[in-house]
Amino acid sequence: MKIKKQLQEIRFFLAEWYRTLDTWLLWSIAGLIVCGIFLTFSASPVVAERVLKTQDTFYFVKKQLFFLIPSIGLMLGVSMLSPKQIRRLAFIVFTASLIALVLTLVVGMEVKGAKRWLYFPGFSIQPSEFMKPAFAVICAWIFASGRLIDKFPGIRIAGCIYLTTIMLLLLQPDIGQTLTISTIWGCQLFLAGISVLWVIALLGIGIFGVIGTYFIFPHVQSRIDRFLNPETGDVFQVRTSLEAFHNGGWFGRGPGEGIIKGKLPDAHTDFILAVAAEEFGFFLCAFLIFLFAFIIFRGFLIMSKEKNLFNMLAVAGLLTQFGVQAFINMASTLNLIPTKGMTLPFISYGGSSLLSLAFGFGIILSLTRRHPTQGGLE
Amino acid sequence: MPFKKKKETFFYVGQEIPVSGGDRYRFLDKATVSALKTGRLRMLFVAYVFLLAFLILGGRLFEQTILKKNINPPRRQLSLTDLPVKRADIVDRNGTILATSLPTVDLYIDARHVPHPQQLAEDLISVLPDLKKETILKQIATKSSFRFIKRNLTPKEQYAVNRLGYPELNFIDGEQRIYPQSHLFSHLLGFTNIDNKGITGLEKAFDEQLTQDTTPIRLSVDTGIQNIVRYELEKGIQKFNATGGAAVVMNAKNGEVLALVSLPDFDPNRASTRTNQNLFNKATLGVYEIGSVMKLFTVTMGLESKTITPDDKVDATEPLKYGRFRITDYQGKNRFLTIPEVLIYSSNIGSAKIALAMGEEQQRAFLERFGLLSPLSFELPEKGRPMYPDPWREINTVTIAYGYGLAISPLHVASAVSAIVNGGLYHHPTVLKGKNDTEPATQVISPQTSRIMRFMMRAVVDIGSGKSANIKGYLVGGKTGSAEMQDENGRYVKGTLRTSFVGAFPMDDPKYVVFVMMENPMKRKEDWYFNTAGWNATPTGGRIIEAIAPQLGIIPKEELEKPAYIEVAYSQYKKKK
Repeated sequence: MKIKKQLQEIRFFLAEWYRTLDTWLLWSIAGLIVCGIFLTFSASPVVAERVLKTQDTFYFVKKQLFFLIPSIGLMLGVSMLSPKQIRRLAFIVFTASLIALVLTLVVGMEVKGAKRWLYFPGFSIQPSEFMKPAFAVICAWIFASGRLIDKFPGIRIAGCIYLTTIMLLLLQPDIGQTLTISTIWGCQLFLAGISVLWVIALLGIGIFGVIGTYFIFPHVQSRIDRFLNPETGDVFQVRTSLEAFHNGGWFGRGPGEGIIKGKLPDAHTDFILAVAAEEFGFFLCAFLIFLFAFIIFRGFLIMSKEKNLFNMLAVAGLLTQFGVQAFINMASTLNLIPTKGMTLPFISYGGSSLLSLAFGFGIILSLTRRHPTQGGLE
Repeated sequence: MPFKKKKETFFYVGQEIPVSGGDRYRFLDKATVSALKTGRLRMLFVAYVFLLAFLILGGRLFEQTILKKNINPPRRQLSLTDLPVKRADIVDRNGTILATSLPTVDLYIDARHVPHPQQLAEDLISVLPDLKKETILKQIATKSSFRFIKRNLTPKEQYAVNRLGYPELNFIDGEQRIYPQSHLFSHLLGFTNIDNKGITGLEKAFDEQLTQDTTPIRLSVDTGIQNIVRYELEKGIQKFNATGGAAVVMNAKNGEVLALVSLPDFDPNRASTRTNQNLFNKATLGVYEIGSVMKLFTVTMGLESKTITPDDKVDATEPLKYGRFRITDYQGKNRFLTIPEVLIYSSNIGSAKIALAMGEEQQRAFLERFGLLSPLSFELPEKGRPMYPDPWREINTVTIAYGYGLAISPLHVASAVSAIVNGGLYHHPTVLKGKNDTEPATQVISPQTSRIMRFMMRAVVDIGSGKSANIKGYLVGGKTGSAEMQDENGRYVKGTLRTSFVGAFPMDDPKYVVFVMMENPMKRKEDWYFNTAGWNATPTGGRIIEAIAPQLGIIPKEELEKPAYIEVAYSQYKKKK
């Protein structure tokens, strides 16, 4: 009898969860994940064969599918949490990530001139990936508190957290993550209602910061130079990528018929949209862009009716992270901006990135659930 | 708010009725409401920024995929750089295809991952019975991503292999060289290896041109003429049980080769028909002592150097003693011979005396002018280097005068005799149609000497040793030669002869030169146990001329009017009879 009752409770809980969940968001993510599986099947075997020299051509596909199951579990699990639990989880993850970030500087192995990964027997993780969603939640919490609680120095605390984080990221160095974190933080600050004068001032500082990186980091300088002036350097990757788009046309050349995936080393990660364009054409790529845009607008739409400031700021921050990451990836593939190694959310190969995105999106799903919450911090 | 929204007073069935005028924040405190309102407004701004960004992305995508669409996107290429693109055809002077390429497929295995090698090998053999199991297993054991299993599969075989359904078995487009004329042009064309690279003959000589330019290479040879020449030579070889032979037909006016045959030959389509013996090109690579045919050159150089005149007489009453050598005439006349008679009766003594009168230096210089002391300038890679004595002593001058001591290829003879009969112009031989139209020829003898030689050669065929090639109406002229063959130690073997005949026609204005050579024709009872050239090579040459002359558009003519020095020989000949 007891078991039956417990089962019923679980059923109740799940039914309640699904009823309050925004299914549009859920199924859009499912759509992205399915597209991602297909594109990994298409793009990664050639890379596996060429780069890893392995006989197991489905190495990347298997690894990605292996990560997909825990990722989906994590996303759904997190989406079942209450905002309070989300904040606690985020606090734990954020603290752990900060410690891990410090560790990467000490014991991390250097890959292509940067220390970003922590190596464990059998697998490796990139702490900065997990930090992003946790950072968004923590900052949202602090910004909301600052706005709603008298004499709570929200902006200052958030500023300290922000500066600590980007300092650690710049030491690796990881310009891409710094940029993402800065965008999240800036967006939340903006939404939290600072005065327009401050916004303009901070935008100026941001632009100054970007120009600063150009002079401080030689690899950033070289990439921007090559983007602005393609004749001066090696633009093999972007040219090959654009060639893939030209070859694609409306419907593409058909699954597996692409040729550029044999030339680009990052065909399965940073340049997966180029593979999609060559093999499946304009329609699939347009569909992918639409899906990303849809998810972002759906999230903002739900949040426009939100009565809880923390929820609003957290979701807006996470959507910004998601949107900026998608935009930077697709825009570099299309040579709209200088190339920046950033994965396409839920599409590109990469276990760490997939898990962290699932974590972040679980938070979005959780905070966008229909709830009778009043304003404030509960 | 500047303007208030009009309040709805009417609600549809099922429409949510807003509680208290639609104020969604009615239970919240003022600070929260103001924060939420600001947030909402600014979120709208952020959303617009994103909308703009994604619209730009969509536009750029449309621009790159649709507006800049590649009409002919590059095709995926396997990284096999050695496989040639289509190899061009080789055609004869009339455009008949002699060599062409057909698209085929090659079967290869990706041996990196073969779960059941034994099963695969057995299944493969069941559809391709000519394969061996060990070979297949050996290829699988390499673990290589690309190993050929079988080249040039038929569509039926490809279907059968596909039906086996092994993903590790794959096909790539191949190409097979086909020689529709089979044996006919074997030595001339040569053949390609399994990767379609020319390794002998013209396939080797023009390998680069054939793979880089798709326009066919047009040869000067004529399939019809070649067919006749090969047929007659083969028939002659069979009839006299000879071990082999060679024949060349050349346009005497420009050095273009119309037919070039070496027997035995092979089928270039089938590697299994090749042996060391039949691969050897006797017409261009083999160099031979040609016996009495050399006397043509001896007399020509005598006349050209003014050592002799056609009216001179040579004493051939007694054998010529030279050191330990005793030079005799075959069926000698034992009398004084006129210069035409030296050729008509093929007098060794007469020839030797002419050469001695001239001296070795002049002889050598003259032979050099006729290209007989160096390899030919010719398209085939298989070219023989003439063999001659070094140092060149007086005795060599004597023997070379009647055909021993200098070894040259049949094509050397045809080219040099063309110059003798055509008015004295030496053309480098060629198999390319029209090539010599632009190449200048060398005047090697005077037209007068050439004219005298034509009369003499005509007499040789009319009343001398070449009678069996005297085809009525075509005014054939020529010279026969029989030389004893050497064994592998270089010793002459009695009774084994290499017989040859060189002919030109029509002798008033020779258009074509024919050279026929036979190796070791047997003595036959029907020929009264003779096996010299007059009994085998010469009649074969005659039959060739008889068959090709009409095809080449030669109109039968009246006999030439003979000059006095020829008339003398004819009257002697009639008296004897």
